[in-house]
Amino acid sequence: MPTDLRLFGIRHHGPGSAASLVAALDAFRPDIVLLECPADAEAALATATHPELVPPVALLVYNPKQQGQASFLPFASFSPEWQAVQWCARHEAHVRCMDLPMSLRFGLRDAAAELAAAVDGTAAASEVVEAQTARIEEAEPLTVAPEATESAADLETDPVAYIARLAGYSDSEQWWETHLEHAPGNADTFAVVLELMTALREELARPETEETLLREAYMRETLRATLAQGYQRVAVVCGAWHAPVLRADLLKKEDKARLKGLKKVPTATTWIPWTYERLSFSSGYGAGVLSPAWYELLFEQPRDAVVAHWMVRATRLLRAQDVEASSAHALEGVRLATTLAAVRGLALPGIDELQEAAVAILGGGYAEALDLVQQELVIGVQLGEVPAGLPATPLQQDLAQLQKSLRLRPEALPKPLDLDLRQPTQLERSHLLHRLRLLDIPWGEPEQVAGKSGTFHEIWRLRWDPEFALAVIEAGRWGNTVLGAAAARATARAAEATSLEAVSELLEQALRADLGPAIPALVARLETIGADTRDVTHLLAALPPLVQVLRYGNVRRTDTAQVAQVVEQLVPRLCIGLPAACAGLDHDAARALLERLEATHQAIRLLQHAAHEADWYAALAAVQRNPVSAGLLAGAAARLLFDAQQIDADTTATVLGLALAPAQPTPYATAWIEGFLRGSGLLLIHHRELFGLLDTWLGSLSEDAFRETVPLLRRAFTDFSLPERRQLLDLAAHDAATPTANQQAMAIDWERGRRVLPGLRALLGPAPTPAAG
Amino acid sequence: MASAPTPDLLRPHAEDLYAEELAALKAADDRPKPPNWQLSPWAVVTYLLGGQLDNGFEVEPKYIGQRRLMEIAVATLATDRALLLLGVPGTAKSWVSEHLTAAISGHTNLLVQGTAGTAEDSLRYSWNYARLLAEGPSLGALVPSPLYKGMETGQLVRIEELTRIPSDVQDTLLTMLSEKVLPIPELSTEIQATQGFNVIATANDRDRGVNELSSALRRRFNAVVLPLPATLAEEVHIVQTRVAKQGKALQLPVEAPALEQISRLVTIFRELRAGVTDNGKTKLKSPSGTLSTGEAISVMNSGLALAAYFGDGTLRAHDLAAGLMGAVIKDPGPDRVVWLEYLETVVKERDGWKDLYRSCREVVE
Repeated sequence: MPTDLRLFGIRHHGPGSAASLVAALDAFRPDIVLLECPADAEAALATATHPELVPPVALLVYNPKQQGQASFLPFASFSPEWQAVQWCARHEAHVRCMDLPMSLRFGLRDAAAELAAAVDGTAAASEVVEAQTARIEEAEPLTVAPEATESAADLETDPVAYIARLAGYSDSEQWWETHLEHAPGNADTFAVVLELMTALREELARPETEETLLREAYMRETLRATLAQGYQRVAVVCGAWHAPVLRADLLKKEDKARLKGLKKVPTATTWIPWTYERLSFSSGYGAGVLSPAWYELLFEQPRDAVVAHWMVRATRLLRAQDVEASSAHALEGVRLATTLAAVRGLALPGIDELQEAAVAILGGGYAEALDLVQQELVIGVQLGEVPAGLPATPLQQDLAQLQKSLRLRPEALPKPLDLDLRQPTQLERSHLLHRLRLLDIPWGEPEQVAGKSGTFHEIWRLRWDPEFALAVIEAGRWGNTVLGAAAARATARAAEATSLEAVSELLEQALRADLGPAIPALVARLETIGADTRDVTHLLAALPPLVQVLRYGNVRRTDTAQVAQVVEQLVPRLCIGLPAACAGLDHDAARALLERLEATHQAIRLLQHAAHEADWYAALAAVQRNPVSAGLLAGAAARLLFDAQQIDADTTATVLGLALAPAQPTPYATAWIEGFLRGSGLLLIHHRELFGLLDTWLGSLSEDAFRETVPLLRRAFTDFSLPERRQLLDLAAHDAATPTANQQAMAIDWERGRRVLPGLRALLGPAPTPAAG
Repeated sequence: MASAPTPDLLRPHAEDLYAEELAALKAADDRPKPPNWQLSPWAVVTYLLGGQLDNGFEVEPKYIGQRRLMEIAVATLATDRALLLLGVPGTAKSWVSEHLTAAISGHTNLLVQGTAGTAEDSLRYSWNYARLLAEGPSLGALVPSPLYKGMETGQLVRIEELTRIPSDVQDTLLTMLSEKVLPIPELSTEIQATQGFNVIATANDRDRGVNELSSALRRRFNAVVLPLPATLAEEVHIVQTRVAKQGKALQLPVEAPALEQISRLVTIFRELRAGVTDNGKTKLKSPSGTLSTGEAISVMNSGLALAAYFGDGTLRAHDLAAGLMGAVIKDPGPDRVVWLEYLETVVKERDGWKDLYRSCREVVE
């Protein structure tokens, strides 16, 4: 008995196609259905009938050895393939996947990546694979017509655009939708589609990509094998574009030759929950449809009721938001949408007509009012479900295992967690939380720890958001273990980063997360950017986090030798560039730099490395001496040098005197003073000489210059503590000579007393902010 | 009905000005028409947006903008819902409403201009008091309003500036729009609307809240918001075609303005409106006025008149300067600062704009 073979050319995610397909299968009653799905997804696809598997879901086919290689095959309830699988389960027919297995496709991409890497040595192989994945997913004809445009190039990527243009449509999606998806489920459609596509393939004679040719060859081979097995009634469900060439008698020999010797990589397959948002165009994923929620409605509701259904749902949705929307509104909406469709020559309003009618009637003409409708009734908020029994993604498994072994349960209620990093388990917990943060899964939010225990304590605030489940799946493309994925992600981010600061922060995070495998790549990147960076401000910004890393490295038992090496190079480079960077800045720029200068000063002192300190002080001295340095920075440099006992009080007095000399412009002198007095006035209180110089300078200003200077000086003084300011006031109020005599008489060694003060301040906490006024 | 346009009219009705187009559309129109419509919805949309008929006749575009907005407007009128056109002044609301009426009803005579003083009588009917006294209440003594006539004959009625009409008067429309009747209690009778009757109202959404529509009334209208032109090219095109058209009507002895002048004017309007220069680099202050396309057209027209009567017949920068300043500076205090800042930071620096800068500075001082 001759085999009966039928070809069903569909549009992926087409609700009309799905309805027609079910009708056609009911009529044809095949014993086997061949689907355009990668052959290695077949076993997993068979589990699609699991009652707890709720679409939208996607088949994830991945290479367990190389995590970057993964491909998603999304299914919604209105996807023809999904319906075909369900039909087969109901009617005990066999399902077979006929498309080129992903194992071979990944192999192809590997080969392409190698080729690309050979051509362009700098391109990271993983990136190439990424780009390829995206391109292949987009290349499916009829899956997507990228944004409707009228460019000629469109014709090459979207053959249906050709026929749509002939019919007077500017948009191929719309043409297809009007003629094939909105038409009620009808088994005869497929004969027409087949003829249409055959004609189109002949007319356009479009050159196909090698991958498409390979896929079609593989599909034919599977078809031939199936026929040889003696099935009586065979149905082939594939993208309409492929239908004309899926004939068993076509290109037998060439197919064998073409498929020979292809490289193969191992693959594994699993189900993951999907969302309508990711199914739609708006999420930026290639294989998408415009309005999943509308498609679902089209598939589920009888044709004549679907418009009313949509409009009533929109009205109810808005009513729940306290927008005035009655049943009468819905009625008018349906009428307007229907009339609008008639004006446009459509049989049934599409999502455009419905939305426009809703804007005119429910939104009072303003589309903004209908954001929610767009979100829920055009895109849709459905989230698929995958039963626990099915194989989880490797990353999910790893995370679940870690959560179990570290006894950290995901809970939706916020919960604080105090970790003592000296204990191994707690350290591992900290690593896990830091790694997840790098993967954009902020399960734990770190909180500031005050005081000394900050070096070995971490306080977290834990909150598991159900959406993280999706993020975990998404992160799966970075790796199969939490560690591997976080390391790959950090490396990728470092490769994209252009500023030294970003990479050094990333490195700090990576060390906190103990991302051993990623550290060398990060350090290498840091070195590259560090060498290229001309802007010293970036070097200044990069140093403090690195010094933190070095300092806390021991607590976290991380290997910091590589970081030390980077710091070794960074400090001299920074010291060389500093004087030039401090020159020719306006006040705001100087102010910004000053903060970094101070942070770097602290960092270098923490390093306790004599050579580095010497370099740094030399650089500061150069800044202080350089006449074109910004006044603020020169003053600050003098102060930092004085505090570090690099210059004595006499030299400081000379420097101050020079800065305040009449030859200096008043703004420079004022800025200098501001930089010099930054933070504390103790200096003036204890060094009468300096106070005297400042006093004389102020006295010598002309009245106008004085007026201009006072607000600026006030700014410099506001940081002082209240007692400091009182003392300064006392000093200024008394005749300069008298207090000196008094102090001599009291025989107080101010220098010795001053040494106690920092200790006292540490004991009493930071100086209170002086009360305003 | 549609007579040949009388040449000495200052502003002929749309149906007279475009009588030829309407006739050609009517002849070519074989699609179903709603009752009492002169054209089918398809032909009305074509009339508004322009296009070529099968016989090669070219229909001029009246509205330059999104097709879907006109489709919604026409589809609304084809149901029995009233149409409310919203938008800032100068976005062609009245223009669209006039042309819709001309195309659908064939004439545009039924118009109520909404003002703060609009009384119920002008929406319903009033009385010829001499006859009322002489004959007592009778249909003969009744003076019908445009709405009355529209209901009687199944025509479109336009209401301009609906939100300027006091709220209690607005409510008179409720029965007419929902029950489609106008009761005349004095004669114990009523007028029932003939098919084809409908209302197109326009309202300015800048001064919303003047007399905000009650929700009951709002529910009777489908609202269409007419936006300001989306792109520079579109806006230049609108100004150019409209200015050319009006120049002809006003018979100004001047050549059509160079595209460059129009483009500069529209650029200034767009930049000030958006508060940022076209290249997105410089942030600007926005003046208090709306600076709509409609105003750009009138600035251009007054410039042309200046050039024609006081200049050399060619539109130059100084012909535009005064009108431009008048359009921007609506509030002499803050708007003057806005304008001066714009001149100094943007116009002065721009290549080839020196003449405009000098002329504007002369006027503004």
